[in-house]
Amino acid sequence: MTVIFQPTLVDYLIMAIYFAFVIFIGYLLRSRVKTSKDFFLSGRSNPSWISGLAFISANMGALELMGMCAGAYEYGLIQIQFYWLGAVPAILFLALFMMPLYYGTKVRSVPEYLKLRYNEATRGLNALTFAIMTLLLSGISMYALALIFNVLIGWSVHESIILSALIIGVYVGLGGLTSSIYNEIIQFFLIWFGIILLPLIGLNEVGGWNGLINKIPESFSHIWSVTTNPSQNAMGVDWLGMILGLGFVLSFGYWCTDFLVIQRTLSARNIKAAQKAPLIGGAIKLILPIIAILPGLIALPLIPGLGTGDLSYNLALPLLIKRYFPPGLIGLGLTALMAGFMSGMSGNITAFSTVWTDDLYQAYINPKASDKHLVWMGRVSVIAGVLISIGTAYIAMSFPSIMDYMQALFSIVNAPLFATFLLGMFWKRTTPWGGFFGLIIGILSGITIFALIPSSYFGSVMAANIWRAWWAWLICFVVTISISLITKPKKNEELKGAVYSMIEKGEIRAKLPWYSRPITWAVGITICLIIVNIIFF
Amino acid sequence: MKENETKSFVDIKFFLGLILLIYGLILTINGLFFYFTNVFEFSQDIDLFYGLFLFVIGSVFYRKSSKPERWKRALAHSGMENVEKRMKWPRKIKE
Repeated sequence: MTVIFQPTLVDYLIMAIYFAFVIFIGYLLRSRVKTSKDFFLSGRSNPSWISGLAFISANMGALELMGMCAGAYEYGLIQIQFYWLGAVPAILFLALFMMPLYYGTKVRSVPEYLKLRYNEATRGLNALTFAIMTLLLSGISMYALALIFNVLIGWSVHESIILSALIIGVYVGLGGLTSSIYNEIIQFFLIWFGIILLPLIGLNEVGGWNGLINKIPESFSHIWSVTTNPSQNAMGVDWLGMILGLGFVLSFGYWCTDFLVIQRTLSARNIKAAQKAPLIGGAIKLILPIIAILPGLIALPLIPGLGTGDLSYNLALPLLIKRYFPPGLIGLGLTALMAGFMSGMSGNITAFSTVWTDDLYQAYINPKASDKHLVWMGRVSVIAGVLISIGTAYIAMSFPSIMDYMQALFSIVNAPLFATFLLGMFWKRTTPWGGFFGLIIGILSGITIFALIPSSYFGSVMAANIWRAWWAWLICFVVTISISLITKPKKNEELKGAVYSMIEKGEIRAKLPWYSRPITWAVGITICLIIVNIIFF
Repeated sequence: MKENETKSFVDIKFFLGLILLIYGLILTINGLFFYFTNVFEFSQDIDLFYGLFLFVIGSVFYRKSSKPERWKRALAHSGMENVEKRMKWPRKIKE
């Protein structure tokens, strides 16, 4: 097998320092984690910028950088919609409407909110599906990291899996969510500092933005004008599918209900910080394509032939690193990639640990557990989660495309869950059993569509994921309403704080200077979003 | 409660500054090595410039951070504390 890089001693030194550093952070934070609130919610002590960067970094993990770069190479600029249409509106909605509910109810996890709003059965169902999904996703990240390092520098897949598992187990086990968040922020900066030179040097080589546009196909340089008909763009999706599937269901389903990202915002020190955290993340999402999409477009004219033979689209970013970086910076670039994968894994492991300890272990196995015991269980579940992830990494190996596998999981689990949340948070009449049966039927219909209807029916694998998400959401939405109309709703007193119309708005409406209000930030981000969409129409 | 009224566990700027300082130092030394071995290419010199850039950014973060007690003790024990004090930039004295 031909490896892409031949790292020098200095490259290995930079990577080794990174490994040592993340363990050092876990060690320093170990003695400060005393209560379960410290371990699972970072003591609810973080300022908005820390929670905001962690919120985005947890999502910048699995396959994000390389996958998006590969997507830009394969589909063109339209891939940017995963950052703009597919993230920013949902993040703004989360900040303005859903954070007051999540944070205001003082829940420690998303399933715990479902218990508050619906019933124990809905919580159990969500906790179980989420725990399984996080372990599968963590395994995917682990396998992806091993695969990439096998191709890039020749490390054995098995050794890479064991090494990454060991490091994550140590630093998350020691410092819990705090350790994970601190590492995610460091990873965020390392990713930026490690990759930002690539688009700068690359743009210089292709003759600037205009030079790049002239060198790529016309349909690859627009995001909306090529969606009148699915055949106009390589992704095979029209504007309706893009808005309903990606912009609404998949996006809102992930950003508004996935505990992996919500957990970071719950670590904020107060409601204002919790609202600002996703807004900071939303602003970053607007500029993230500079390091995640632009390199893929630049690679298109400079490194032709990817996606054929042994050269996967995923190699667009590594091959650009090889093209431009000398020894030393190669180490930094590889560390940035490694950091990206590890932040995804640690995010999944901390989310799994919290849901397992709070929503499964304490709820069903040991309801009288002391706080000290819960911290111990949290640490044990981190180790268990890492070990199971090693197993799921080997399951991921058997799938031809792990990116499609991930999107399929989201369309089955997250999409119907968003309907459950939407109705639960904004319609008082939604009943506990309406929520439960709507969710379970939504998930089952997602699985049924996945199993019975081939992707070719929808046009492409990506289109299949988008439309499956839409139908799973719609079925859950309709079933929840139908069953709610024939079953008994909760009393008003029980819904206090859990439904948007029944929350205490005093703290949310606390007097702040106009420039510091979440709504001002949200309007500013929306204006920027509209402007960039017009520019690249 | 206002956002700046409570403190998080350990100042994240400390960790961030430290790792950027280390990486900046390594890249700068590596860049200097290339410079003095007469490999005059932009792709090689970029280590030197980027290393210096990271070093400066890392210094700013490290300088502005509050250090953990264990770190301060370790510095005092190793005698590095005085070196660090001498390296500090002049700053305004708050009344």
